[in-house]
Amino acid sequence: MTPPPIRDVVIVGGGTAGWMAAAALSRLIANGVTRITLVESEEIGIVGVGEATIPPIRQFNEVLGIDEREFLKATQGSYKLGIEFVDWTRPGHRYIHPFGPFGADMNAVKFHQYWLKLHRLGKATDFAEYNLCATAAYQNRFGAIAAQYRSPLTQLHWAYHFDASLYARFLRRYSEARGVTRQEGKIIQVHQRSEDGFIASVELESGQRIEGELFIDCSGFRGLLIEQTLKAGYEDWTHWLPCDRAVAVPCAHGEGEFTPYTRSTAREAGWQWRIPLQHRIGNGYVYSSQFISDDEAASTLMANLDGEALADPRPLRFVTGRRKKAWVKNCIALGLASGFLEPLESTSIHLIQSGIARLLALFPDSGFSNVEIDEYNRLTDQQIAAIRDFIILHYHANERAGSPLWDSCRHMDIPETLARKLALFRNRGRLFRYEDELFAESSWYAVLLGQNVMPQGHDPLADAAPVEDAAAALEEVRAMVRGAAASMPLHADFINQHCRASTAA
Amino acid sequence: MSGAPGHILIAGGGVAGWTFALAVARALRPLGVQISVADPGGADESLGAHALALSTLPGVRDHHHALGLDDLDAMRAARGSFKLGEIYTGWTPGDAAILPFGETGADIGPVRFHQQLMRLGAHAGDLDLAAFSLAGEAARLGRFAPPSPDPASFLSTLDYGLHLETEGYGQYLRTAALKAGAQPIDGRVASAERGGDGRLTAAVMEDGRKLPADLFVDATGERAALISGVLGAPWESWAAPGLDRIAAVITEDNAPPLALTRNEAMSAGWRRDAPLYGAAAAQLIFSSRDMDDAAAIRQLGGTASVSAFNPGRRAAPWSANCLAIGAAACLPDPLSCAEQHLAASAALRFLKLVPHSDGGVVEAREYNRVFEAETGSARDFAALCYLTQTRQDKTWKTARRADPSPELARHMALYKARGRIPRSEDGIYDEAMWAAAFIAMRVQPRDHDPLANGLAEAALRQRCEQIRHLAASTARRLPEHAAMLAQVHGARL
Ligand SMILES: Cc1cc2nc3c(=O)[nH]c(=O)nc-3n(C[C@H](O)[C@H](O)[C@H](O)COP(=O)(O)OP(=O)(O)OC[C@H]3O[C@@H](n4cnc5c(N)ncnc54)[C@H](O)[C@@H]3O)c2cc1C
Repeated sequence: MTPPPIRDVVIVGGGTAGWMAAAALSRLIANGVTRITLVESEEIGIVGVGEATIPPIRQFNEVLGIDEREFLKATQGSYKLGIEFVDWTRPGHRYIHPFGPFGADMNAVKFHQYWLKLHRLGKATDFAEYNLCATAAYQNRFGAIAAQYRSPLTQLHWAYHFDASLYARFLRRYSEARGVTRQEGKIIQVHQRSEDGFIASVELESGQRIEGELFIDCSGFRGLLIEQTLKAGYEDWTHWLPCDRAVAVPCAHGEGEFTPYTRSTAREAGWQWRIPLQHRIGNGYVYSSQFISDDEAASTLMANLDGEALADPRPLRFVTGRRKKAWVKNCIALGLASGFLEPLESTSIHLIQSGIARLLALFPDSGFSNVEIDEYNRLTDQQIAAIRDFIILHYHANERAGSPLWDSCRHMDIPETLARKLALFRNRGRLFRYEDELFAESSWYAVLLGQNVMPQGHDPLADAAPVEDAAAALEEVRAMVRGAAASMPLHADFINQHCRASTAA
Repeated sequence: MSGAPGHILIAGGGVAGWTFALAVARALRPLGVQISVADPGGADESLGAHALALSTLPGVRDHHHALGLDDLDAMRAARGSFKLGEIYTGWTPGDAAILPFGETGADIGPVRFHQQLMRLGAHAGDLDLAAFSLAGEAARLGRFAPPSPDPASFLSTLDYGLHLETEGYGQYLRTAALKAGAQPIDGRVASAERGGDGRLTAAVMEDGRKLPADLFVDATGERAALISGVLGAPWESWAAPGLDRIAAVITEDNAPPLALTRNEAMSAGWRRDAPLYGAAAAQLIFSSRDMDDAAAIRQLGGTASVSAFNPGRRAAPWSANCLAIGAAACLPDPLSCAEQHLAASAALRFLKLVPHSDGGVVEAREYNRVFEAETGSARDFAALCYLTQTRQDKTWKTARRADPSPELARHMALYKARGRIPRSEDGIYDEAMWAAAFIAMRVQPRDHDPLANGLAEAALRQRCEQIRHLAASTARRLPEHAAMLAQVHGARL
């Protein structure tokens, strides 16, 4: 007979990962049989610096039935249209990786191919001017587009910035309302079944034991269950993604605009993020300890804030890489417990989300068959590797000659999958997505062209249209995008009108 | 200078050669690229000698759209009929199973439709998936209508492919390609000359003429005159053990055609019937150990021809400046319905990767990578039938004595555990089609998706019943397939 369904799911950890898992499972497995318990320790606390997201988070909210404006009010949130990269290519240079497409394909030829051709002829302007999110971002706008500019070319794509602690609190309320039991306490021991090493229970300082059949390890970097207990192993990617520390600090809004985008500024030994929320700006310097001391990093950060610092700088340590197996026996690791790439493209929260989706697609029963476990791990590996390549590209394709970190990145050996992609692009600006890749082609174009990876030529098919026709078509896109962006309200006004948090925290 | 190759020579016409010629002529003629097709005329050899008719997937319509072709014109030229799916009989005990195109039922959140049915106790042994599909019900009732573009309408859930006579379809493509500026050259390419760098420099015709070009497309079918004959690219064989012969025939037939391709397993092999307008195409794939050619010909009718059956694919179909397409690149098993798909996707993929006149290495590598993924799914889709059929005849016991590819093994293990289908992007078939194939082969998973247990049973049962009812009642109101064909072809049979 088939094994009975899982009765007890235990989520270890109440950071972003833990509460996202609790919220999704409480909503989607509401079968009247499965109970969900979440254990967290206030003493240990959460990392809580994950504050920028990418557009698929909207689907997550939608599946949970969360109203966007309520959610932004509750989390001091703001809108995000992309990431601006300052000084990455070389000092003094800036580009934006916006969400959404650039122009639209014409005659089955990719838009950027026409751009490549015309740009070389001096008949095209900056690539960003053909993308709505980029254009709106630089004007600090967000919101509805005037009717005359609405077209398939002007569909807005967005994600959010939010306060991670408030997000966890928001999801906690949501989950508890749907029957999730929260257990405060520090786990001091993990008990395994003697016959097969499956996790049987976790024991709190108080002596209380919490038993379960399925454990979701959301305990952060330490990987309390997946690593400390089950020894899944960790694959270190520091040779590709060299940063291993960060120092974070919130600051007050200064004179600057309320930008609807994240900014990432390259620094000597890494890069600095700037994430605007309603009540403050989140900042952090992500760096490689090989190239700068902690003190120097902290003072660089403090010297580069928009406004007055609102707390002491907070140090964080990590090793970029991934857990060799995210699912072992009856334990699935989500969030930082499953690995950490780099916060550069705001992918961690998304990886939590897609881990949850995969878990739902392959949800086990108490029999735990290896077929599903293997498939989960295979899909996880595939996804992480593709994101890894995209992030490595940012470090690798730089022209910051003379600074040791950047020199070494420019000369490092890159993964074979990325090398192939680059070769194909350098040749004629072509790109193919591998299976299940998260970032769309337009994201790759934005970063490749932004970091000055210029193809030797363009797709010959782009030559089928006369130059004047192509130039006119490009100009039409640009005018449409510009008009649409200008017709949108200012981001600050839109937030004030629709999603202003009630109390400044 | 655009740098596209100045002259593309396509060796061989047929459906593969002319599809390719049409696609490149439309895109590259405006750039001044010369496109010539050395077409010996006569029977279409480009997709393999036994492919007298094509039974396509629904994607054929997207291909036509991309090539500026009209589905109905293609049907008129090729005695075409509509295809709503496939039907399998005799592969496993029990009733025939229909694999319908289009949507079957509807997912609920992460829970797939077939998982809902299995949660309600449905058993693969007698599960009639088609009853929950508009295409399936319409096929059963001999009815047809094109799908509605309105996604809110139940009529939008239907999807269809085509049955086309290869020869007429090839002629139709030829006319379109010539109109787009491709140049025909009489005669058959026998071989080619190579330069010092290993690239081909000129095709050599049977009569000794030499035709120089920059890029050579090998559409010479199983002969593979260039890719194998000159470049020696190896063949990877996929044949199920023992099934080594194929017979094929087209006969006149005025019965109203079924909107399904039929696959019937018999003691020494299996038979595939693709109904055309006013004709019927049949193939018999059999084991020479258990049936001789004469018996096969008797079964199909007097004029059937028989040849060796060796499905498989070429390693690196794009090598140097030679690109193999059609059967020279991949000969899929008929069960995978992939001949037309592969011919069109080769041409459309090439257009995304048009090389420099002097280059092509990077492009070829990318082309070959996607080719492998695509043909791999075609291989696995057919292998699934051979491996999971449960017949007790000698032929069939032998046929299942093969190992699945690692990808298929993974597919099968996941399905057998809990009826799950892995996602895959570069493959030819979607998740629903894989699930329908497993169900058609009566593969019973040990259990269903535990998340399906979260759905309230009574409400779920009612919902599934509603879908079944909707499919049946909507199908009954559709026009007859025969009437729709009469409209297309301008005359009733
Ligand atoms: C510098 C930096 C910047 C980042 N920026 C972004 C970004 O912009 N966008 C993005 O998407 N992501 C970002 N991330 C990642 C993001 O912070 C994490 O993905 C997210 O916070 C999820 O963390 P978590 O829930 O896995 O772990 P944590 O937040 O560490 O939570 C761990 C939980 O486990 C509990 N716990 C641990 N041990 C025990 C125990 N023994 N007993 C009981 N409970 C225990 C803790 O109490 C806590 O509740 C960033 C990360 C870093 C380091």
